[in-house]
This record gives sequence, C-alpha cells and structure tokens, in this order.
Amino acid sequence: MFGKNIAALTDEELMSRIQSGDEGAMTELYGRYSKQMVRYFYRMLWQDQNKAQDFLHDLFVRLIERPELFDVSRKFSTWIYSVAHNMCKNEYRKVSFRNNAQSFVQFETSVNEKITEEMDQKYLQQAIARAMESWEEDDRSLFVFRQELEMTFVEIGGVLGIPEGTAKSRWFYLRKQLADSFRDYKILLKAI
Amino acid sequence: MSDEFEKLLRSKEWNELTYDEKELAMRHVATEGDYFSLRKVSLALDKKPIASIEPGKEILHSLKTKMSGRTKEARPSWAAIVFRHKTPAYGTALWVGIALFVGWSLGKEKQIGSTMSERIVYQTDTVYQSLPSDTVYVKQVVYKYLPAKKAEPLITKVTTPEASLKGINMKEKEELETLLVSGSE
Repeated sequence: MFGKNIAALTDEELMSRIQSGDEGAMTELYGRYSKQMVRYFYRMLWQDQNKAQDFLHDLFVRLIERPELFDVSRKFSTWIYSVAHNMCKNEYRKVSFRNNAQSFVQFETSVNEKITEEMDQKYLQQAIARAMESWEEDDRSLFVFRQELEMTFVEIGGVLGIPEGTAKSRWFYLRKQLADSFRDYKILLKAI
Repeated sequence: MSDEFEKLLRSKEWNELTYDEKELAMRHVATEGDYFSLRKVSLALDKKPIASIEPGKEILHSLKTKMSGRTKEARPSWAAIVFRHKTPAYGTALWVGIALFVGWSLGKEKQIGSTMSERIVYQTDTVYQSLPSDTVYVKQVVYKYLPAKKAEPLITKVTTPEASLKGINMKEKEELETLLVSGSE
C-alpha cells in the first residue's frame, strides 16, 4: 500500500528485487539498459547485429541466474558495464585474429580505391571500426563508452578501473590516432 | 588534454587562432596539419549517428520465461513475501498504531460487565514422607528445680556509744585544747 512505484526504484533496489524473483523489476531494468548495451556490443563486436543481440540476451540471463554476483557495494551501472566489457574481452580471445583480418583486408582495399574522395559519415564509421581493430580491449571499450554511450570520464574510469584523468588522456590519444590514420590515407573529410 | 583546447578545436580553424591560442594548441599537437585532422575528426565524432540497432523483442520474452522458471524453482517463504516490499517509516507506524488500537478496543470490551464466577475448591494435600526423618540431637538445657532459699534478714548491730564514766582533769583538757588549736600533725 505504501510501497514505491517500480519506476521510481533505483537500479540497486531493482537488483535486490530480482534476487527475490521479481519479474517486474527485471523488466524495468531491461528497459533501462537494453538499448545502451546492445549498441555497446554492436560497436565492440565488429558491428555484427546477431552477435550483439546474443550477447545482450546472455548478459541479462547471467543477471537472472546469478543475481548474487552483483556486488551491492558498487554502483549497478558500473557493474553491468564491467560485466559487458569482460564478455567482449573473452570473445576477442576466442575469435582468432585470422577471421577478423580477412574482413580488415577487404576494407583496406576499398578505402585505397576511394582515397581521393571526400569522406562522409559512412566512411568515418568504417574508418573507426578499422582503427578499433588495432586497439586494446580497454581502449575499444573506452571509445565506445564515450562516443556511443556518452558516459562521463568518471563513469568510464569506474568501469575500466582507471582514474578519470587517465580516461581523458586515453580518449584524446585515441582521437589523435584516428586523425593520424585519416591523414595518412589522405582522406578529405567533408567541411563542417 | 585541457578543456580550453577542446573548445578551441571545435570552434576555430587554425588561421583563426590568436598567438596565445596557437601556443596552447602546440602543446597538444605537433603541426598545423595535426590540428586540422584532429579538429575534423572531433567534429565528425560529435555528429555521430546512433547505431541503428534496437534490442530484439524476443529477448525480453525469453528472459521473462527464464525468470518465471527460476521463480518456480525457488518459491519465496512467507517471510520473504511479507517483507519483500519495503514500506516507509510512516506507513509502518500507521500499521502499528492500527494494530494497537484494535487490540485495545478488543480488550476493553471484555472488561465491561464481566461476570466471572469463582468456584472455591478445597483440596487437602497429603504429603507422604518418603524418607525417614532425620534424628537430630540437640543439646538440651535441663533446668533443675531448686527451692528458693529463705532470705535471712541482715543483722545489723547498732551500738550506741556509752558515755565514759571517767572524766578528764584540767591538765588533760589543756593538752587537748592545745592539740586542737595547733591542728593535726
């Protein structure tokens, strides 16, 4: 009678209810995080839509089957991004570099053919995906957290376990790498 | 990377920078070309398109099925059901107050016009001594009857001094007076 509306509950309170088997709490939490998580997996897993959906499903299945894994001392958003980040790292280790290099080579050829053409957003996204291939898992996650999910550097630092200043420095360095790779291929960006 | 440089990167081309701003920029990039590339990339990233992917609808349905299956496996105890929902302090206080009022009103009705009859029951308890009584030897004071002795009156002998028949002569009288005047020695 005097209970709070489920939409007004915090993420941590919803997790507590999920531990008790509350389906409504699980639905609410899914509604809050599913879009961000599927976009994260999409960017991290070579823009593979099917893989992104599978990983989203697996992430929430873990949440349902092992809710006790949630560390109540941590913020839920930091925890779920950490779990997603670790899932991607495990996937990188499973998938051999040879499989990914084939798609990389194909992309490389197409870029060289259009080397003098002005770049639009589509080529920029492809260039980012190519650059991410050469980055470490933490740098990839940092880039996606900042670029795709618009997380603050404090939140990113909490997920990756690095200070805020380090996250800022790394973000600047990644953008500089992107800028260097564009200059190297003499790709002209459309004037803004 | 400083916030100032970020602002410059997004707002000005290289040839629009002042001398001081160029000095600031050169702390972060090596050449004008680097500044140009970094600016273009930053602006392009700011205009980022959101990934055209939405969560699949079947995923939520699958998760709900899993959730209900897990709930059936582990049914919560009555205590978990009762105490699942947290209530605020004022809500709890209100329920306690209601419970106290109901209890008081029920107890009050019983006290009025109560005609309880009492039945007096006499019961004699028989105590059986299972063990023989202990023999206790006590030092007994034995009082012996002694007849009281007759009290004998105190004999007091009163003697009355008799006057001496022999008198004193003049010479003895003078000696006596001399002795009395001189005082005792």
